[in-house]
Amino acid sequence: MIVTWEVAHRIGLWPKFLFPSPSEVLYTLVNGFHDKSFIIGIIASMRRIVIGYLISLVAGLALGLSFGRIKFLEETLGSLALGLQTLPSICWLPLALLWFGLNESAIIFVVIMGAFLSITIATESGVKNVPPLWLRAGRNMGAKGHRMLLEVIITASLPSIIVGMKQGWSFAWRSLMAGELLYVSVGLGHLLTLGRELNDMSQVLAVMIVIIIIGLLVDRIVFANLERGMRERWGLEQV
Amino acid sequence: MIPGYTSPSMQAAQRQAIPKLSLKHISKNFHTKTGKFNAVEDINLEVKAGEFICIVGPSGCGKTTVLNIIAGLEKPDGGDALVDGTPIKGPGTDRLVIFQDLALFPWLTVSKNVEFGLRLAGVSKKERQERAMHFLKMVHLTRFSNSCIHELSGGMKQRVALARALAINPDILLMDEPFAALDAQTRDILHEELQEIWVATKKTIIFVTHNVREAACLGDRVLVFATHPGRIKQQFQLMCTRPRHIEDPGLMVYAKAILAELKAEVEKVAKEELDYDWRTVTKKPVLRLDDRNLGSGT
Repeated sequence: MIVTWEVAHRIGLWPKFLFPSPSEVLYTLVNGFHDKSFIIGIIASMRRIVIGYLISLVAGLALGLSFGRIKFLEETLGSLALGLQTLPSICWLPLALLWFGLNESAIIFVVIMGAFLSITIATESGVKNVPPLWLRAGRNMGAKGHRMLLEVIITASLPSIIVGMKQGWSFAWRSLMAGELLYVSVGLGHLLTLGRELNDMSQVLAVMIVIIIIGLLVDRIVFANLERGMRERWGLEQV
Repeated sequence: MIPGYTSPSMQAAQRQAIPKLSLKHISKNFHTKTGKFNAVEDINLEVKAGEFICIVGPSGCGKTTVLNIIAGLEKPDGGDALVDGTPIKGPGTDRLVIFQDLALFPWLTVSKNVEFGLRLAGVSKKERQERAMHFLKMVHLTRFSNSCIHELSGGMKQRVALARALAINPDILLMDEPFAALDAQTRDILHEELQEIWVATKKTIIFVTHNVREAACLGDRVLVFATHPGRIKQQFQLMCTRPRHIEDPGLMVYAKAILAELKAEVEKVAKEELDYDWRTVTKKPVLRLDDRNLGSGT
């Protein structure tokens, strides 16, 4: 693939400045890490997504649990959550800018809106699908209140919660990039915009590669392991 | 195994007069789309400490409902359920259910499953592990203490469920058709083990089953339930020595008598449900004389 890319570049089908060669992109990439501009960008983006994602996780779990357990909430707010999830989270940006102003809070808010609803909905469905038998067994062995919640209900819903967390992460990552592209200084999305403004195609491509790699790494390392561990323990792995 | 063994029920009877468990005029209704339906009605039962009670009955006769009422997982609509003379108020760890589908937690290892109730009770980690090991040893599963639940066979899961219940040290074990899904050989072994454990731990056991021979093999007393509404139709006191084996010829007499009671009930259910009385279907001979074309030569 890289060879085809290089050949296409050499033939000169497109202007060279619009279609840099792989080696140029690699050079920009290395250079970006060398002058720390990429590292600063990655750190800024990761900080936002980690904060936003953790808040989403806590809020999503709490809300999902209450939707799953309290029928009244599910019937009122539950359908609202379902409706809101159809809204791409970047659409929250104008609202966030008006509420929070041009600062970190606004972008973190957008990240939260990306992840939080899918975690909520997955948790809710997980909680609702906990076999009643496990609840009875738990009750029978003396589980009540928060112990029941923690040790039976949440753990029993884990397969569904993990799916929601994974989906939430990818939504959060997308909304963060969209948010950073649209405004905000520092961050990977901003580096992309910068590349466009400077007509530096190799920077644009290099940043895109970084974004893909980070997305993949988190998915492959964090979530794949989480999921595999759970599946192995539960015996859901296909043999 | 234990010659001259007298059942714990006899010893208990000498010790105390208050029954371990007593059900007085218990009734329970369920509301379904088609209307109210009487799950059980006027159940009266006294169980002595250390007694092994088996309950047989056609499906839908409220056996499981009775277990759930004793466990405190369901409330009766009428009557009193007493343990040691005090009314049952909700679930308690003195009465543990071993569910038909076991309800082991797949997110915990075997030993963690056994420790589950102890952890809730706030038992220290060290003691928890010791007790889990003790009971896993009792059910011969120490080798698998760190295995995941899905790695076990049906019989092994059954043992884990038993160990998990025993670890919490209940007075009463409520077993809801626990061996129904096992193959006959595994079941035989578990029958033996359950009797040994029962003798060793002196638990009061209430064991629901479909299998008449199993009931005759395990029970000090076998209750036959009738259906619509669920009620106790007949009781059998079994005086056979322990340990018993399901194939013991001495048990056959009892098994036959219990089966006769049960069969009438099962047939009644079939007739009600299917509007079909299989006894009235006459058996036709396969070949009749006029079917045979003997070539009369017309």
